[in-house]
Amino acid sequence: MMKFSTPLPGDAESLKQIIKELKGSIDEVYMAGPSEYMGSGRATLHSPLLEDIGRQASYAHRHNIKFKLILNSSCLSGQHLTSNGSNIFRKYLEELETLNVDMVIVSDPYLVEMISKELQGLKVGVSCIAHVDSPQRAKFFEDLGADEITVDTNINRHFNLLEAIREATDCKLKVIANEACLYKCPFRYSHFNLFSHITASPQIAIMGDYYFEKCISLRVREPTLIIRSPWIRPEDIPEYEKIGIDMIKISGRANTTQWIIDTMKSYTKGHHKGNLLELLDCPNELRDHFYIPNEKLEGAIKQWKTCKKSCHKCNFCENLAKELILRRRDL
Amino acid sequence: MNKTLKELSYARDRIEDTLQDLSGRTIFVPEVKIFNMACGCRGLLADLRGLETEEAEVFHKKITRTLKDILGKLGLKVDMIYARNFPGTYMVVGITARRFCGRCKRELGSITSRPDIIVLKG
Repeated sequence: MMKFSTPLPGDAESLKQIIKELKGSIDEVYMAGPSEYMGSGRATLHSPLLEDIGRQASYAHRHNIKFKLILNSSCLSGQHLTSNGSNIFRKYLEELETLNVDMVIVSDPYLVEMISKELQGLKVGVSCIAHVDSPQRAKFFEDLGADEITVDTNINRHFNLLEAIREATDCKLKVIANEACLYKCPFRYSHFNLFSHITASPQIAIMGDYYFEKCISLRVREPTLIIRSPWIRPEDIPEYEKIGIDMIKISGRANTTQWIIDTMKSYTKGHHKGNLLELLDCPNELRDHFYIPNEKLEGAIKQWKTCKKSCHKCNFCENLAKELILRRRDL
Repeated sequence: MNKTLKELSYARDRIEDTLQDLSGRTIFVPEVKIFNMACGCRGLLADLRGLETEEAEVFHKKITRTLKDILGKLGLKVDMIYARNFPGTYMVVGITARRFCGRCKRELGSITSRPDIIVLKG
């Protein structure tokens, strides 16, 4: 049976509600850490105190669920390599070890090596923000000491690469099913960097989130881009199980608790009826505009499994978009 | 639903349809709101996804006509209708119809008010 990793908004009440609704079908939960130590790669709604983390870890453990913390800032401004910053990070990580956090998930190779070498009670995972998209990079992180790897979502539909990574490493492998960023998104590095800085203190007063608004505007004008995004339908999870992927991670820790519960239920049951966009993180706004009947995507995975990703020659996704995507107002 | 909310719902649909018809592209209006600011300005704001600066400039008369019609139904009088682009980009992120307070009229009430603003009707 495929295992599932569930996002948490960060507060204790949400954790309790999520575990109450999903107990028995999830294996681990994850959330961001306190922003005063380190940012993370995505928007964070709640910055927990260290004692909150300890209480939430204990609560998850009482229900036989692993508790993981995301420290996946794509930029630490070099702080981790300064004497002062290194001491602060180390103390923070030692504290997490004491609080019985099962694993921290990071994107910086230095942190992978440091944690695996110096913190025996704390496992270390590699974030999708480390962009593991080849067997070579996976092996590199395994050799640094990683216990698990979340692969780059850009290769979610590159089955040959996923199989090669599976062969190359003994690390546990995760794919994120519902992130739905643009395929080969040109904003990806810059957007993660932006969030890494604005989720850490001090906050930066930005004019607006250019990357988000551009991403939505591009998709509104060219809905084919939504189909090309490397999301995975709940019904297609068995294809990933067959090639040895250990766990499906659901993204969306900046969403509401009820959205997380509903989305998790669709993925753990392996079935969703209605608008696929209801499940996808990242372009949440798009679900108010477009409707993609999930059931009509049945079988598309066969094409994507062998797809050469030469979109300019293929037109499979473009035809699907023309055929399936509706404006909600026209329903 | 009260009358103003019904009119706002209608306004959202109508702005979306108008921009879509004019540009020939899918345009999304996620939110339309009427506002009253601390300074005294008031008006209507439509957030936009998918419209580009050039389209707002080329179709400014037709966009303005639609907005005026909507504003009439809402009983709003305005001094200026303008599109705001995301600085340094071609993205229009909102169209605002605004009745100025005295201070903002001096600061924003001219064509060269701000580089991120495209005046559709001054």
